[in-house]
Amino acid sequence: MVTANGSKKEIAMKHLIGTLARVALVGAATVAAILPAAGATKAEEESAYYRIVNIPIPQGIVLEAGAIQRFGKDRLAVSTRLGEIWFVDGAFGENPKPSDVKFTRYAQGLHEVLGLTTRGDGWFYATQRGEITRLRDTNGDDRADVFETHADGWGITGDYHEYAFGSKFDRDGNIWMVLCLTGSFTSETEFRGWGMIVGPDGKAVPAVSGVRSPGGIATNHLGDMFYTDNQGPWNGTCWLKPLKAGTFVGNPSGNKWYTLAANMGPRPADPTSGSRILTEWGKIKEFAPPAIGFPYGKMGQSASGIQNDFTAGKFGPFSNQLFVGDQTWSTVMRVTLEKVGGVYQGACYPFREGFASGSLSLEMCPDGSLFVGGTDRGWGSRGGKPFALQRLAWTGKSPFEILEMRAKPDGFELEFTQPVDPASAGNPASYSLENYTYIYQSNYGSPEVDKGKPEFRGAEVSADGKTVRLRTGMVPGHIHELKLPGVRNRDGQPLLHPVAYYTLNAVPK
Amino acid sequence: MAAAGFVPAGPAPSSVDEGELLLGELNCVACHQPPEGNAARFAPRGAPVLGSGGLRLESEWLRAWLANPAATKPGTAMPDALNGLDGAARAEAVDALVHYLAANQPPGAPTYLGADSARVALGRARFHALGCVACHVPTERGEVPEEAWQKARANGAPLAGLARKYPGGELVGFLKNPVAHRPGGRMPSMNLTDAEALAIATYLLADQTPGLADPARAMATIPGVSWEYYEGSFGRTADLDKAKPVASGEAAEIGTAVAKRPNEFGLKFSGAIMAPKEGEYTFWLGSDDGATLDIDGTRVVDNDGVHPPSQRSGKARLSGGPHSFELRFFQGGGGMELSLAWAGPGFGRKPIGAASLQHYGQPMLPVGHKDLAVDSTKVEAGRVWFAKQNCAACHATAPGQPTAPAAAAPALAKLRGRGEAGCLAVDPRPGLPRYDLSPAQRTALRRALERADQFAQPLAPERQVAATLARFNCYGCHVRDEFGGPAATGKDGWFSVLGEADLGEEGKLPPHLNGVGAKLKPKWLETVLGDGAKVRPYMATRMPVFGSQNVGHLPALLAAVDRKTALRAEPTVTARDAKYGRKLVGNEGLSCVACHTFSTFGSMGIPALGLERMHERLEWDWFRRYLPDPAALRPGTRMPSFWPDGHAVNTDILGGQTDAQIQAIWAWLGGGAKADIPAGLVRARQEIVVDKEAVIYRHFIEGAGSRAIGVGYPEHANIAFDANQMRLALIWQGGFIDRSRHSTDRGTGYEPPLGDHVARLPEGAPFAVLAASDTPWPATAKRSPGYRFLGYSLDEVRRPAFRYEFEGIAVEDSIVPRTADIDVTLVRTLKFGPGKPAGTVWFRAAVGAIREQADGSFLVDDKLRFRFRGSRATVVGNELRVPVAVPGELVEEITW
Repeated sequence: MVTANGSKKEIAMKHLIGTLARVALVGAATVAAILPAAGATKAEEESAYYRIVNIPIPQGIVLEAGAIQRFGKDRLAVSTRLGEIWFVDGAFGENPKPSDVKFTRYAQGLHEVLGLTTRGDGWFYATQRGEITRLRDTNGDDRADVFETHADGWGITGDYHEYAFGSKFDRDGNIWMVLCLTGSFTSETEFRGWGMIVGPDGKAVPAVSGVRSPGGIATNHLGDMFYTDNQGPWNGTCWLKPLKAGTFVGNPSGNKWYTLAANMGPRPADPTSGSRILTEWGKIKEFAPPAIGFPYGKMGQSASGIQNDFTAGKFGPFSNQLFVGDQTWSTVMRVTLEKVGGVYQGACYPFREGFASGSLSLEMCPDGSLFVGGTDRGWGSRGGKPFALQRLAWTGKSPFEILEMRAKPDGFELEFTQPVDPASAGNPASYSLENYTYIYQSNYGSPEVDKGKPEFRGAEVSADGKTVRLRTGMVPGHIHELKLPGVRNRDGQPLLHPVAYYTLNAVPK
Repeated sequence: MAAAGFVPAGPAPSSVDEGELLLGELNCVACHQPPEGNAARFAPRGAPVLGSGGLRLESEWLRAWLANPAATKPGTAMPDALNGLDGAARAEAVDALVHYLAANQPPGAPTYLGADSARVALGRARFHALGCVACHVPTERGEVPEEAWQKARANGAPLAGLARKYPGGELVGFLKNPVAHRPGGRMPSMNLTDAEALAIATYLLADQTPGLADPARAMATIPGVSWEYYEGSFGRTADLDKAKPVASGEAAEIGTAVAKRPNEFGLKFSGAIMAPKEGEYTFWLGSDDGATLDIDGTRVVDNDGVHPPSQRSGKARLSGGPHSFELRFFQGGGGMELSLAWAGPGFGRKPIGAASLQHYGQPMLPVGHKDLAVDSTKVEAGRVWFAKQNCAACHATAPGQPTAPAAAAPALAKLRGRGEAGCLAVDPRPGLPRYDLSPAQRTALRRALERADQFAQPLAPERQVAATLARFNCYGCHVRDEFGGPAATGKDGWFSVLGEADLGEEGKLPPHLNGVGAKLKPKWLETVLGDGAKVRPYMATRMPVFGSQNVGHLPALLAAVDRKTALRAEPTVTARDAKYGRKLVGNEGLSCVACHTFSTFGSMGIPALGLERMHERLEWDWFRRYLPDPAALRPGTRMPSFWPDGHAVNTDILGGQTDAQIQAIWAWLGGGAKADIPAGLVRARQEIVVDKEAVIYRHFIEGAGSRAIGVGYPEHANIAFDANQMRLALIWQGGFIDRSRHSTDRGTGYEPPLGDHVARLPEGAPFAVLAASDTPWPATAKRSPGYRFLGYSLDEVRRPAFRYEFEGIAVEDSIVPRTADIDVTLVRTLKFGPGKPAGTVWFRAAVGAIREQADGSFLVDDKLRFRFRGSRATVVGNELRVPVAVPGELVEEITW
């Protein structure tokens, strides 16, 4: 939601009053009874730290942003679901008015562009449904006139579900793609339900099987590729999954194409429906378990675009962490990853809500601007606007948040953005921990199952107050939902988002 | 006799007394009168209506059935009514009853179905998808896991011996209206269409399918059509006369399902159209490519020739009764369509269905069928047996006729303390019916009867609800109070979603019934139970109709149980509230219409429940609790909250006040289907207008494949290039593309050309290296092998020059339109780079009826004129071929 200038002060005031109210309440005995400040929405609270700036879109342009690429000096290229690419100038302004922003149509007539990147050499690489096209403007009028087919080594049938998401260039100059299945359940043509690596020569090499319905694809700060996959058959919830060549990531519907992928070796064994991911991971050697589960209905309902914060502090305290959109909830979530036993796992946290449309495409820029492109066509979103382009900017003020939740052999370690109050953070009653997993099945989605409450043996605050060690029981294969309603910083403030969801593939030794 | 016992359709919860349930299910209360005023507690299952209200059943099946019901249909509720009679005496009694029942059937002869394997497959699919398997045992495993399959096989009402029992027409009639024939409502109506009932009956009677050349089965007039299938390249329907059919058979309806390949085939359908009465009839024949319809030897509709989907109509004056017809159709390449609709005296336009088509063929005769010559002496003897054995206590002999309780049987309350005597004895004395009961069922009945003195008291409402839900196996589909649902019997795997609706489990499984008496308005609940409403268009299964005499009491009962605390009263709302509500519902607000349909408008995405019914269906008290936290009342729902933690995400409308917003939406919903249409639903035509520059449209274009590239030129000439097969696929004039199919909703399907004079060019690879000029053209492949698409560059008016490779030869392909008077000419320049082909490279420009003109041009199908510069074309059969120099240049001009 965009706030007009006039009401900003009111919000800041509300926030201040809310904070004061909470400080006052901490003095009272019941820590757990603290509620969010009445009247202030979470989005309003969040806006004190991260501000959503709306980029006005001229009448007549349908900017259902499928992908965003920054280039040149603070220019954006935004590709759309209706096949256009727009250059946007003036999007980095503090509070751009319509007259501050210039839209130039660079290309039209492309087929639903959900990936866009450039090396800055004048060529843009656009991932369309049917091909990756490289295009450029040869006569300097900001309109592309050469469209070269870079790669088209996969099938499409005409089913709307067969989306193709393309990454930016990886460290080796490849573009990775994830190809949605035909419909929810089947793979009707070549490599639907696969991850492909497109090398500089334009050859699309099948690399990862088991994809269902992606929403975004990007690397973490180390250059390892990830994508989001949505709740559905074989996905009990929405996941962030690693893309590592040669692996199978969970949905067997597209595995018939192993016959065309000699480089991948023989087709892996089919998973057993109704099982658990942990069990099947143990049985299928190609299986790569998902890194992060976004609990359905708790974190969101449709995970989408991914970006990592490479800005070294320009976007706030979350350097090198991942930011992931949720289309239905019009949010951006936050993710921290660690490798345990050679496999990625980690936690997700609510980060920012209140975007105007369904968050789909994300673009982190060197100045610390995170652009969020939205669309709600075909899938409703909380934001409610049919499309939007917005910039998320750090206000310079750090929220009190869990910086990172890490697994330890005997529990979890929490690092915070600010020193905690040892009395509240050292009190086990300030926390509640629950764990559960999902049925791994050919049916659509899953309820939370195998629920438990791990034993909670203690919370120890470090001398500097920045970390807390939780000694708890741990269940491999489960999501550990940690709530921290009682934890306070030294000013007596609660966490902006007192919850984290840790996906535990393995317990560190 | 094996005491396997009566098999119910599904399990009952522990709150329902099994013995008491059996008193109704085994129809004990038909003879043993339940206490006055509390008969509903034992709602009897009843038995099929016989006589004039019955069905015409096979006499040989009746004979086997009466001789031993439990062996003929294990699990049946029908007792052995001739208990005590053995050997010849039993056979004589059975024979007499068979003659008596045959003599008292409804007048007229039974009808039989025509064999049709496609219909069997359709019926099998419908049987498993519509919800029949919630109560019956599934027969097709599909993709259901082994464990669920085993569980499902062990749950369900028996369905044995149908192929011996029913002439096909009788089963169709029964499926259309089962409650009329079995008033107890255990077999509900699924609101089947004629075609569905026909298909399911054909599937259930598949064992009646005649073997090939089975002389025992005389030919007869039966529903459906005969067909002949041809293969070849046809340009007119008359061409079929020159070809020999490669297959023939019988089918329920006219359609292309019997074709064995997608291209280059023909079909002839013949039989009789059954005109209901004399009058003028209109026939609409839609086809792609050509089709013709002849009735009584006269051409009624001519839609002949190669063309995109188009429809023509014709009129015929017909007398009432059968009229012979022949429908011819052929398919060249690309899109395919065939449909026949009609309108006549007293009915408007509708597809011509199986019920109106007859043909002469081999009927599906019941297995073991024998004609019975009714013997009046035996009929009389049967009448005596029928009365003596109290058959009329369970079976009515005319529709609506009451049954007559056996005078000699003691009242239900009097059975207390008798132990396992009478009908309950393991070996009942002669004259009493012998039920097939399991030991557990016998015990349950005895225990229930020990409490017979309490039978006059009403059950607690909660238990009455549970007993009703168990009796009609509502639990087969619905969960209530943690009992029931398809997953409980392993049957959830057969429940499916229609089409592509991306709704997860809630799209497949019927809703839970927890608190349903407080969720739904009583009047709506009555509608649902009375008519079997279908508000979830995405769900393959439907709410059946059990008959108001059977479930009419449920709304009041559910209200009594679920409304223990008073519901919050409806708010008073104004027209102004509704205006805010409309804004919230539309895409300027919360965009509810992104998922929900409204009236006749599809949603912008998935077809979630229609907004126009919400107010009619739901209680405000439920609605106001549901909206802020949908998952709390419907766990697992895809409906997100727009007021998380009670805070409105939209703060622009009504100041972001949660209560006011929800109330406003309710106010708008109150308008029902007449409410003002919310923004975002009206799918306007979205024409891509071509002005001074060419415009490109890469998308799914009908007739040009999944990698189509449409180009609209300023001259109002348009083309679609197929980058899968690397061919010029379509050319047309006028409007370019209406992209609304792709720019609304999720953008599914193929968009056809918007304009007119649409012409299709040959499918398949455009170039081939051939040994001789008349070597057959290579077969069409989805993506032409040996080709590579390289992209395009745009000229100063944005016209693309396509670039691709064929066998290592680079091709540049550019088009410039030219207009002259009423004609448009596409000047297409094909530039070939160097290469080393292993023979002559040929270009196939057209397929059709080709005539070379005096001026050196070629006229194809009297429509397209081709002219070439840089090479000389030749006609090979129905193909126009041009040799190509490599390297070299060819200019092709197409004028139309």
